[in-house]
Amino acid sequence: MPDSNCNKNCAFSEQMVSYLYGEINARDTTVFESHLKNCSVCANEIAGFGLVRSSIFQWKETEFNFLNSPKIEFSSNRPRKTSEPPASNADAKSRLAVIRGFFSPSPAWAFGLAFLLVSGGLFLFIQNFTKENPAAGNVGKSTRQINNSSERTKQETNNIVENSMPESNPNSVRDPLKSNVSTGEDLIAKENIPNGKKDAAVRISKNSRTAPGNSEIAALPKMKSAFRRKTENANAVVAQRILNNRRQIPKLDNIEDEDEEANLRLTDLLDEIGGK
Amino acid sequence: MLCNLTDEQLVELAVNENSEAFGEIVNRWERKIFALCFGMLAREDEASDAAQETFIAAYRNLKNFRGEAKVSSWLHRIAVNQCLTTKRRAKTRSESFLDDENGTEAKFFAAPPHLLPSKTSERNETLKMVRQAVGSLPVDLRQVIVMKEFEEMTFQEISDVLELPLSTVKSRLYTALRQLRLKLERTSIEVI
Repeated sequence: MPDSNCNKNCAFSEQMVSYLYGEINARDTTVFESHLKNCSVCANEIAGFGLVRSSIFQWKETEFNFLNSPKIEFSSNRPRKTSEPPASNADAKSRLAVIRGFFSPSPAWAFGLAFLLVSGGLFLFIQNFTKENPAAGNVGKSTRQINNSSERTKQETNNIVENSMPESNPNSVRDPLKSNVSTGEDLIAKENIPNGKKDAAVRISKNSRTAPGNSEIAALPKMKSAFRRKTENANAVVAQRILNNRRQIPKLDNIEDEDEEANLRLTDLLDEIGGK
Repeated sequence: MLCNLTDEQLVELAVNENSEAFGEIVNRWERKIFALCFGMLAREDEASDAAQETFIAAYRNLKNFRGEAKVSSWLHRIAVNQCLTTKRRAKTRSESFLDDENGTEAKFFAAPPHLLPSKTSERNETLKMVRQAVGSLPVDLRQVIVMKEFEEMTFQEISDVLELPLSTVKSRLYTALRQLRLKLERTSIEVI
């Protein structure tokens, strides 16, 4: 009769396995054997487990026991698998890798070399180009000439302006804001102001030192108009010179065709054809 | 002289670059590790490679062995990991015939050359089914039954190697046996 305590997850499962493999103590053996007498499920199960074990044992006996263990060899320095390639091949590979590494330039070297080649090539090309085409070399010259002529024109303009100024000596040019009128301090000294009031007078004179006198303010418009007139005269002279220079350049309209008679004209051809 | 030393003493010598000491360890455990690999992988070539890789890995990691566990446990742990790696690689290459709970891959299980179908007897056919049944077990159940059946380890040893409680090891073995029994009964083959 089946034991009511026994089911798929029998509480005796661990004892059953231990009993099956003979790893159970005497007390537990007695208990389990008494259980087996009353539990047909466990009895059936343990019989089935026995058959499974014998099947596995048969498999082991038939397919494994005759196999030789793999040869495992170790060198004294480094463990090496038997299927690993011999050391000589590895050395040969490493030497080849070293040679390859020597000839394969690093990116930095490659870039440097490429830059030198390109810059050298460009330099040679420019040299050859300037030798073959002198016009290309004259470009710089003409630019320099233009610059020189404009410099000359500027210099002339300056000279004209300087000559037209009232005093040619720059040191003698009078600042309209600086007058010959004596300063406030001189006046204080001249007027014999008492010592108690001198400080206040000096302070006032210092504050008013930069202010121009009335006579100079009146003279400013006249000086400005004279300066403007002379500048206009100088500009007119420069403009006249530029115009004169332009006139020297021959215009296409004025060029006469010296070989006019030698050239064929379409009307002449048509006349000839019509005459024939 | 080396034969009298314990595994732990041999490892200590091997750490000090005594290759003969490690050779003695290999001699002691080579067969058992190969048995484990064969039971786990069910293929001679893969088992042979896995056993070699196990000892190579152990030799390379000798300095990392702290002596907290037994040498046998250490080697078995490496071997089980190596078998799992081999299985993963084989699965990636779609060459795996095991490690399938549904048994879809197990039907491609290759019989050894001396057990070709034309020459097999009823007994050989039965063995083929047993291999398929073991191969179709989940990895955690398979490694327990292989350790028990192929290496004849005790429950305590298995517990030490897998770092599992003793009750878990017994429970796993019980489950593995139950599944194997059901699989073999389903194939309607009379178990030897």
